[in-house]
Amino acid sequence: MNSIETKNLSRTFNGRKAVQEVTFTVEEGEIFGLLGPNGAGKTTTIRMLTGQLRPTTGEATVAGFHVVRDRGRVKSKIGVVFEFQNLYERMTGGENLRFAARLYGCDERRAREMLERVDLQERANDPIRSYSNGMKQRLLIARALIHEPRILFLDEPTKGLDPTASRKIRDLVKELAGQGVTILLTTHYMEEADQLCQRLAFLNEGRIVALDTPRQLKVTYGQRSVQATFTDGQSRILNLDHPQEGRLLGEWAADGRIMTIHSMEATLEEIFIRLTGKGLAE
Amino acid sequence: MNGRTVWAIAQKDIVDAVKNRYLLISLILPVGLSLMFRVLFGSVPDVGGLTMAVYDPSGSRLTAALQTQPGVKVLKVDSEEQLKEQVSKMGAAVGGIAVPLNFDSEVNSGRRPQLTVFLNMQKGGAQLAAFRELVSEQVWALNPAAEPARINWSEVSAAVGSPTTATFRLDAYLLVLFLVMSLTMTGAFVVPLLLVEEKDKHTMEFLLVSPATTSEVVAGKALTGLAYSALGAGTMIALNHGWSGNWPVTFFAVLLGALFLVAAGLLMGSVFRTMMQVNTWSSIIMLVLLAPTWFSVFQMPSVLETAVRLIPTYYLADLLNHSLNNTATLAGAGIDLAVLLGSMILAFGVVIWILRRQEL
Repeated sequence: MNSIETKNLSRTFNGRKAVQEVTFTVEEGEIFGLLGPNGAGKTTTIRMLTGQLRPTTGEATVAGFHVVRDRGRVKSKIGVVFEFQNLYERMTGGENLRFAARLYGCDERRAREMLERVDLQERANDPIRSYSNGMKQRLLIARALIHEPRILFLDEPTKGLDPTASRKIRDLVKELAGQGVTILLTTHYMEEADQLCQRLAFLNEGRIVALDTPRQLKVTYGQRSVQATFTDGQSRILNLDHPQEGRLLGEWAADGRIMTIHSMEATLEEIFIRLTGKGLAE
Repeated sequence: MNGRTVWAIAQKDIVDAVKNRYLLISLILPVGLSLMFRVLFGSVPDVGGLTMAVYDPSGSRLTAALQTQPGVKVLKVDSEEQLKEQVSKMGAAVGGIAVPLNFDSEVNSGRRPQLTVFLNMQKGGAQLAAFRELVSEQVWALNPAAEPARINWSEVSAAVGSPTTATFRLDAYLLVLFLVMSLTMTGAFVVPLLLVEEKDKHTMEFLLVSPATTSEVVAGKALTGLAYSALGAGTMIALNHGWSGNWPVTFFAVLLGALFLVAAGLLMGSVFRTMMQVNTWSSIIMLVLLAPTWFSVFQMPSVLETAVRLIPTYYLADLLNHSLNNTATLAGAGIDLAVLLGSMILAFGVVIWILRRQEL
């Protein structure tokens, strides 16, 4: 069953097309990534799917409900982690979560459970302004999960975080997916998308330019080649699509002439550049 | 509209607002100023020292009881005319009691005699309130089981034989000034700031992906504004004996004034997008809204007076002024209340129209 479905979803701001005829589906329990540079339309797509923005044209359903007509029902089924760390800074972590629990009509004990889940129970009574960026991001995820949504939207969840904090967030995302939560995340970090997403869509100037599993994208748009380094220090690139070069590689390996072999598989960034003519950081 | 959601937002804001030093200052400032002026000018009379005139030809228990009260000076007079004279003289008795002949025996037989009590309306509201309370208390003390006598309260507004003169009561003026200031600061500064801060810090996005709708967010802010208006006005009235005078009119004036100013604040909060805009524009709007209270004691050119009458807070100040001085008439209060009610409906109407446009 599909948790998210979009069909020709578009949004125009003062004549500028931010999202153009975006069509994709996300299956239940899947981690789906929207990959693209700043201004590609990732956040606008999320805002339309979470009921913050009305699509100019096209249709979308989340958890089986229409994002405009059934906005109230959609909101009860989703959790959203925003690109910016929009916590109430004068309140403590515990107060932020208790407020969210009251808003969703949950038992306030959920706040304590969620603080434990993101390993922030020791900092529950500290004001948000004393939290590190990583801690704030974990608290944002805890807040988004307070009402146990089945679909989670993560907009740039590791933006601006150090490697350790980013790893903690990625581990948390994997854990949630393991529990059957559908996750739609946007990122412009190709490694993150590669590690986390079962499928991903490349967005460029509001359009999807490619959509598949990371592996299939690499197969489709990359080259099947390896770089062999020989015992004498020389190296050579062999294209595995040519049967002759493949055979040659086997023979050299059997002769013991090869020191190391490196895959020449294309990275997602290289594929993106190939498809759009520009990098993800642009 | 979901009451639970509205209350959750209001509860959060009520607690969070006092952690914001700008909001805290704007909530405390008017109350603090009213206290400071009270101490500096001693404008509220010492209600412990009451002078009253009594005409009591048969020498009742009531007069005897009043004479034993601490801080009470009883001036005995020989006729009802002398009694009215004492009451109408500025600086003399705060009130006068005309005790009928054989008052004690009538009370003892349960016939509930009529007691005429004159109130010197040129005295301060607090003094009058204390006098009324004392008389009622002592009359009831004559027979606590049943009403011993019927009290006929009669207002005396000017000296006998002299033209009626309006008196300026500093305590009432300051109370009007600070009440309007408190309601204005809460409505035109605290409320828009609560709303715009959510936009500025992007917490509005969180609220709008939660079960809350835009209308519920705005209703939560309105509830917070009304709670702080009630707290500010209530504290000031309690500290400055504001219940004296015509308290039902004072109550409706504060209620409608708070509703109008909160609606005005919501309107500002719906239009403004940044905290900077609120800080800049709120100061100007507050000055305009407070202007009628400053000008109410000065002679103004007619053009300015007409202009001030276009500001709804003019009617709030006028209404409070009359209610605190116990001079509110049905016609005068009716016009003031109607203008406030109309302004409030108009402001809320515009807010709802803007919200509907902003809703997805």
